[in-house]
Order: sequence, then structure tokens, then C-alpha cells
Amino acid sequence: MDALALGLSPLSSVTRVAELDPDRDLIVAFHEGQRTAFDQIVRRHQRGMWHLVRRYVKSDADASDVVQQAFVRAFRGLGSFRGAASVRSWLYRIAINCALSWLRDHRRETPTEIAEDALVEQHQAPARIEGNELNVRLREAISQLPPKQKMVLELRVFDDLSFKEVSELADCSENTAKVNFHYAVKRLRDILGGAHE
Amino acid sequence: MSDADKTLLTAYVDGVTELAPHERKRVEAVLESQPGARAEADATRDLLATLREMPRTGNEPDWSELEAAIHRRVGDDLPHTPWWRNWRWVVPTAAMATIATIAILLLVMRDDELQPVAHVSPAVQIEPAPNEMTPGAVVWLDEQAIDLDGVDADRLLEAFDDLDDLEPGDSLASDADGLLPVDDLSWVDTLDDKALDRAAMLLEHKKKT
Repeated sequence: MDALALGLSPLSSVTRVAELDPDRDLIVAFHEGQRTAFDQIVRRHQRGMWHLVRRYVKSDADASDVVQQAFVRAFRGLGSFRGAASVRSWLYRIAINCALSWLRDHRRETPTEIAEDALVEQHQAPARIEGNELNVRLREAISQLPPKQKMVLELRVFDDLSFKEVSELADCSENTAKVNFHYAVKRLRDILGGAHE
Repeated sequence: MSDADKTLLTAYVDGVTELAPHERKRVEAVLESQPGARAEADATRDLLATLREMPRTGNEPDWSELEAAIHRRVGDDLPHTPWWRNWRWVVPTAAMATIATIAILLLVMRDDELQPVAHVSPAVQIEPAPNEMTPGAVVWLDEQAIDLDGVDADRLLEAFDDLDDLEPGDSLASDADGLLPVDDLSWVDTLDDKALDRAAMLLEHKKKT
């Protein structure tokens, strides 16, 4: 039995594997003094970073502002980037840190020690609820997940990161990321019952 | 199905290529052997597909506008790298090179100090003496051939060993029975300067070694 027999999407799985970082060449070019390499990095990752940040902050404009801050910070630090993690997870880490800083600066009344607390509130905001009833139930179910499981699930499902990248962002091992992902999925299935089937 | 198998099954469904070959085989074995596993995999896959189809939160901005805004904030020039960041590899490298140079110089100087000894050795090496003491052999002693005929070789060797144990001021043992002119040191007066120099160098060499 193989992946195709199970109805999986091997292509999407392969693209998530970051064994060979597709951005490595751009980093090398930037280190060699090519300023335009950074523009290409921005083009590749601004969308993903924006959606990641958007889950943390309350408005689209704020998300854009935080993404700009994140890229400015990345630009200054790119010279010392040595490739311990993938470029994408490095950028996403910066984006998460910027989003958390933004929350600390702008929403002192909200607990912001961990990103997941902020996310809970975002998903509970009525204006944010979109789509049909199932989507509403899914968002609510996600908001009820323990912080770590929620973070791993969202990074995996919404940001389309590999387990390795998820583990880099969640500060855990790849196996722990897989375990958290499994329990998040299991919990969602339990919460939703047969609604999604 | 164990929790570990369920975890692997979820990861398998969502990213089969991210599993190690042995993990993949394990999941596939579970799927083959346990009918419930396939239903579990299907349910997980359906849920993940539904999650991925959910509409994204917020309205996406104009990406080219955002890119331009980032470019404006970042500027056209490359970031200024602090001088110490460029030099941070130079300092340790220079330090290592200096240490290596000093070490090499020390080794060379040490060799130079040892060189006189090395040069002395061949000069001190007088003439090859016979190695084995056989009946009728001759011992080369103090540039003189001494016939060992009629001398007990074992007793002679013991006498030599005793000589090594002598302390300054001890009288020489008479076990050698006339092999060395111990009572009459007038032969010393017959040594010329060259021989005395050689003896001094030999003693110096022995001290060092």
C-alpha cells in the first residue's frame, strides 16, 4: 500500500519537506552583496508571513505593519544567518516574535505571554468568523485545543510547514511535533463528533 | 492499535514522505493487518482536508504594495555590518597563527641547543669496540686494546658494574686485578689536550642525557 492508494497527495507532502532549502541560494546571493536577493525572499514569504501574523493580530492593516517590521528585522539579521534552520522557519520565528511584541505593545489588557492565548481571542471575535457553520465549529474547536497542540496544528495545516519546521518554531523535537499534531487532530475529531464526516 | 502507531498513522496520512522508511513500513503493516486503521486514516484525512479548505482569516493586502512598503523601510543599501563582525574571524586566526609561529620557533631553538651534543657524539665515538666478549677477545678500553686472555669474563663484567656504583671519593675496587691502573694514575698525565677535551665533552653529554 502506498500514499496514492490511500488517496494522499504526495506532491504537497514533498513540497513540505525542507531537506534542501529552496531559499539557500538567495541567502548566499545576499551574503555576496546582491541586495535584490532580499526582494525575492520578501516576494516568496510575505503572503505566508502575513497569514501567520494575521492569526495573532486583530486587523489586516496591523498584520501588514507587523510583517513589515519582521522583514526589516530579518534584513538586518540576514547577514549573520548561518542556515541552522530553514529560511522560512527563521522568518516565521521573527514574524511570531514581532507579532507577540506588537500584542504586548498594543494590548496590555490581553494575556500575551504565549501566542496561543492571543489566537484564542482572535478566533472568538465575531467579525472573524467566516464561512458556514462547520467552519465556525472548527474554529471554536481549534480554540479549545491546548496551546502547544493548537500551535502545531495551525503551523502544519494553515502554514503548510514540514514537521521539521514546525518543531523548530514550536521549540520541540520533530517526534513531539508529530505527537502534538496527532492529539490535536484526535481532539478535533472528538469535539466535532461526526460533523465533518 | 497503540498510541505510537496512531501518531505515526496521522503523520503518515498528512506527510508520508516525512516519515523514516521503517516508520512507513510500520504504518503500512498496521494498515494491512488492522481493518480499523484504514477507517482511522480516512477520517483523519477528511478532517485535515476540511481544515485546509477553511477560508483564511482577513482580507489579503496588495502584495506588490506590501513589498514596496518593505523595500522603502529597508532601503536600497545592504545592511551595515559592524566592523567587529567582519573581523571576528581574523582575530582568532591571527592568534592561532602567532601561537603556531612561537611554537615552531621554540622547537627550532631547542634543536639548536641540542645540536652541539649531536655534533659531539660522532667525535666522541672513538673506534668501534668488539661487542662480544669471547675467549681470546680484546676489550677496547681508554684507547687501548686489553687482551682478555685468561680473564674471567663474568668477573670482569661485575667489576664494570661496580665501577658504575662508585661514589666520589670511593676507592676503586681492585676486582679488575690490574685491568685498570687504579693504583697508578700517572697515565692521566700522559693524556694530551685533545683527549681531555673529548673526555670533557663526553661527560657533558652524559650529564645532559
